[in-house]
Amino acid sequence: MGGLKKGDAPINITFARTMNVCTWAGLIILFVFGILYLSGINTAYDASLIMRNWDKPVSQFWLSVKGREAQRYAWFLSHLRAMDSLAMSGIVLLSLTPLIALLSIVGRIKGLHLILLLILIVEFLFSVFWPLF
Amino acid sequence: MLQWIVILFFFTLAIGVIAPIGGVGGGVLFVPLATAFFPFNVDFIRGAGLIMALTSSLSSAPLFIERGLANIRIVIPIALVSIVTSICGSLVGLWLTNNFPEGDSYFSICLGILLIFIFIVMLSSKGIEFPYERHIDPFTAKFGLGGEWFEPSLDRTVTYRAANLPYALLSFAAVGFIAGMFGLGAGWANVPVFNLVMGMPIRVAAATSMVLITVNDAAASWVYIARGAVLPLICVPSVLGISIGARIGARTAVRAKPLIIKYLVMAILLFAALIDIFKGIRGIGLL
Repeated sequence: MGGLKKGDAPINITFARTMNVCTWAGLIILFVFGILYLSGINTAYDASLIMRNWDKPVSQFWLSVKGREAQRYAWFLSHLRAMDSLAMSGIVLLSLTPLIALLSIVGRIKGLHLILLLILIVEFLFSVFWPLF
Repeated sequence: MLQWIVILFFFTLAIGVIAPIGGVGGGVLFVPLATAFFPFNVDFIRGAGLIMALTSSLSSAPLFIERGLANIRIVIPIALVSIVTSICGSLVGLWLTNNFPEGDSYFSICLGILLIFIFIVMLSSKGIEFPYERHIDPFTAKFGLGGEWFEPSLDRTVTYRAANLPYALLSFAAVGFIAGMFGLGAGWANVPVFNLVMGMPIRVAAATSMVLITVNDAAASWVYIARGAVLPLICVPSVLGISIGARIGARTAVRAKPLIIKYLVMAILLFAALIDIFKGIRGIGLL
């Protein structure tokens, strides 16, 4: 079994535990603020306006709802006190969770896999930040 | 508003209950059925589908990893390729629906064809519980892909090695593109590649697929988030519904007849495929 890495357990456990914590945090944020949002408390965008336009492609949808297309993350980051934007922060945390879990094992992995891991992290960071450029 | 929230919640709750028993992820049922029957544009359906698939896989992946059924060392080289194609798939999917007047209809037809393909895969592929040990080519050997876990049914630790990484990378590149473009988790494609191409035991293949979905769908979801295609009004009831449904599904799975549920899921997929193709053909004016 030359290919087996007997020392993988600590790496996997660190990865799994980080993923677990971030997932629960993301879900709690999503559900708490999401339910407040669905209750109609302090929303950034009028729900009835969203419903009148949600059959349109996303670019036309935002032209109708906001007057311009949604670019980058300003459509929710600029209303961080609104419940829909706070619910989005839960989704953002969930979408960052695999990246955070990958970062948590950087110090525990060596050799070829460390190089591959670092490239993977760069790719992931690119997926997050490319809209900003 | 309340009416749609309630409908979405119970719709995704039902998907959450039957999908895991039927051997598929929630996204593969949500995206085609919502495209066929809900008033939302496919951009928002795909955005929600990705977040649902991401949430479901994030909820189960840590347990699989801790038990040794999934090994992050195997996921890393594969994700290097599939993450790029999943981002490309998301960009192409949104470009198609936002730059062509009948983009939604073309997307609907493509989705219907993909569903028929998934139906055939589900009908024909039979997972191999413990595949035979394969020859490890020099390229795959460099990565040392393998692992071990304690299998209670055998009362012993099972070790395995993965093979055929070059072919698998090509397959996962295509799967990543499809996942990003259609807003799916694509476990239906990941598992056969891990099991039949790389020779990993079926339980390991299913668990590793979950981890790969977290990475692929998380990367692809940023494209949808940046374009504003992830609406909390759709995502909150959907994620809530599928999360509760999956827990009910896990409890009922013990008593349910998986084969009957699998056939039910396949029938739903075929039905949704036909509706999506019909809707697409009508949308481009051929009917």
